[in-house]
Amino acid sequence: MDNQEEFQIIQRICEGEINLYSIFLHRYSNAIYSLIVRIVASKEDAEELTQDVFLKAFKKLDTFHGKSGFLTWIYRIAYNTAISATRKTRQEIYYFDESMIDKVSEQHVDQLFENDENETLHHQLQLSMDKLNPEEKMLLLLHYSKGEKINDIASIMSLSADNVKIKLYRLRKKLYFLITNVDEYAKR
Amino acid sequence: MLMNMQKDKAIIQALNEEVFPSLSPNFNERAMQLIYKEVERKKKLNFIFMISCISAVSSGLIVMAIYLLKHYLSFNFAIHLQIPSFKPDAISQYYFDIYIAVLILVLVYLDHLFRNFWNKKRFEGSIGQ
Repeated sequence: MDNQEEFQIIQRICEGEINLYSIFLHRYSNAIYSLIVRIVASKEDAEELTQDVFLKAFKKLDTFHGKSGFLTWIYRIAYNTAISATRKTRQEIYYFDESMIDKVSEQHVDQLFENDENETLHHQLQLSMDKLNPEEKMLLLLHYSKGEKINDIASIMSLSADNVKIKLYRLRKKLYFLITNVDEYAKR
Repeated sequence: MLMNMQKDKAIIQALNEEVFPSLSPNFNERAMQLIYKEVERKKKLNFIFMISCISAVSSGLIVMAIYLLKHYLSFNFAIHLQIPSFKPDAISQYYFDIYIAVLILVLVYLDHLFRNFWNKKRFEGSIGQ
């Protein structure tokens, strides 16, 4: 189903064919849930937030103009909902000296992340991802897991495309730093 | 600075290997129920808003009419209202007026019937799909 088809279905929903909304629920509920559950950690909260996202999207459906895909549009709602939810609850914050990122060599980062068969590295990466703040996690998930384009991520996170690129660039270095200094950060 | 996503295979792999719980099997049905409830709520709100608007406008008009009658239009209705006179030559004209009035009422009633029928059909269609 392309953007045009989705837009036509949305127009029909706005005209009263509400049951057609289940198409989007069946198609995208897992994608939205998988994104939120990695941010809020609790299964129950994530499910409730996913429901909230679809309800909010339904209420705002008449503002969808089909410029982007429905998934990108709903990711934006999911992002705002998940981030608001994390702000309401107490989150464990890891102190991280951002100036350390500048000392990390780009070549080392490239070499480390090129390797996709190192199980230990994968495990370390998963542990390091838990130490990222919700915005960083979301950026990582949207780019690497959901495969969203830079421009779409920029629209989802209300940033400029250049800003997204810079954030991703620093994020890779931060992950590298967290992995290579795992002993120090594990204690915090 | 531009990073190539394919270069970071380890990050993609680590994210793909991550195990996370799945949605409840009846999630979509529950969400749709919520959507239907929202639609009903919106309809009720619209109805209340419409009734409030109509009431406010009607009250305003009534108050304005009373005010105008009381302060600006001080005349005796008994003098100003004419007593209708039914002259034999005008009776055919009255029959025509009555015919037009009945025709309008029938058309308005038919419009109401068809609208009801159409709305009912559309609602049943949307439930059935």
